[in-house]
Amino acid sequence: MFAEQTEKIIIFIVCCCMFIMILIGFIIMMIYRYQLKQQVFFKSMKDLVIIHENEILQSQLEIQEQTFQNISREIHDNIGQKLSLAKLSLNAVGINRSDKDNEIMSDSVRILTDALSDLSDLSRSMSAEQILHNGLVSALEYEVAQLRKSGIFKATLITRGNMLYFDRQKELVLFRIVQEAINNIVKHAAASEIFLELDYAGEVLNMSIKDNGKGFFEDIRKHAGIGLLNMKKRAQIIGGELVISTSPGNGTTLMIKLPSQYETNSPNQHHISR
Amino acid sequence: MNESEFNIIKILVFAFYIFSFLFSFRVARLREIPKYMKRFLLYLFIGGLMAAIYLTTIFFEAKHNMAFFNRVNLISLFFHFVFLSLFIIKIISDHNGGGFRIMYILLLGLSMGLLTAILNDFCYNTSAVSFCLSSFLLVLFCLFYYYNIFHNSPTIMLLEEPSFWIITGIFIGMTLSFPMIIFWDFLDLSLKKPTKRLIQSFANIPYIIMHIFFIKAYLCLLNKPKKLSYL
Repeated sequence: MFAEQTEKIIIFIVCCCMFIMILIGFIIMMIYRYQLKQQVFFKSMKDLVIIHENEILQSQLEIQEQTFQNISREIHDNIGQKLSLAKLSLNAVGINRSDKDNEIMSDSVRILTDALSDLSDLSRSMSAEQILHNGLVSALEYEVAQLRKSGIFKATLITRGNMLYFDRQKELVLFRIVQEAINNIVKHAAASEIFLELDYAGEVLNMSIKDNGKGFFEDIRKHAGIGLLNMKKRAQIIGGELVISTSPGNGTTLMIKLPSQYETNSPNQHHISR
Repeated sequence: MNESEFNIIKILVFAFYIFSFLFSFRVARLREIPKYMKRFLLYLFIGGLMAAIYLTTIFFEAKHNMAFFNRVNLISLFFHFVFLSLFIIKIISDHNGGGFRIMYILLLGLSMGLLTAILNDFCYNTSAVSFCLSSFLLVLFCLFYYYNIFHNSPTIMLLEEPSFWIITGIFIGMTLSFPMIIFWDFLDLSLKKPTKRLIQSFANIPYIIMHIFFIKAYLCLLNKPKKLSYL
């Protein structure tokens, strides 16, 4: 009788323990599966946010590019034409003038010529056609030439390795990043030298833009305006990576690393310097 | 084991409940607690009062009046069932943006069924059917909660969510007490009284486990990052 009771109690306890184990197993399994599902969910949400941000930036770039095109065309076809006409008209004015008038006339013609030249440069710089027709290197050569023409900067462009041909849209984005970087140097860096390097290493383009300006603090960079952030995001959009290194008094270096899908074997070592 | 030793076991069990109850006061002192938690604390307070009545019954009445003891037990059971099932439905409803009115109608029907079982047990001076039914229905509500969690987008941080731990406590407590009551009927036939009393004290284990999960829920609330105040 006693043995029978003990057996029943043991069965009871064993059953209870097994049941508790099963329940705990169920809860652990459920939490584990939930967390797996949650990880996948958060990852997909993160991806969606990135895609959304990229789409917004892409749209902004497209709008900006379209605006540049419109302004460039307007300068070339309308303002440029009118100024050319004004210059022709001034040249056609009769010769019966005093010396003072002649001086004023020639000054006006010279100012108009300068304005036409500046507008032509601006139009060309804004236009995407240069990139679409001549490629990135040619467009950068033109930018460097413009910098040297200003007489304020000693500008250098170096290309190394076997040139890679990127998608034109990628090259355009890359070119706009360089333009913004140069613009920042001109406006804020107080630099005298600008150094551009395109290093085609295998299937990767390493581009660097250096200046010998005043540089800035790391903290300022973190809290900087949308300019630097935009450049980074643009680089990300085309599958690249942008790194900025700077410190006060040591200038600024902007590095862009862009892997390529298309490679050609046209060797090119190009060096433009002042 | 004599009668007073069994009572000591029961008092120890209730001491644990009181500890859990006192722990909940720390949560009640928090400035910002979810609405459902306020209701849950109110439930604990009423539950605590009922436990006090239950203890008093054991000491002064149960020896002589088992029917009275049984009735207090059944009233307490109905209160626990109604509150806990309402609590689970409200949590599910909150996760789904306030819908699920059909669940309240279902709960009303189930409560009526339980009430019938309770009235029946009142007459026959037992509580096994009511306990089984109540536990079974609460387990169903808990399973529905889990289904709902998996069915929706997994935006809740489960391990940091107090409601999850409370419902898991209810789920484990009720699932364990359900077979124990069935086993009790099976064992009741042949065991000697001291052995039966020993096993009866096992019936409190699920509720202790349930309160451990409640304490985990309180800890989740207490460890939540506090908002910075500049005042």
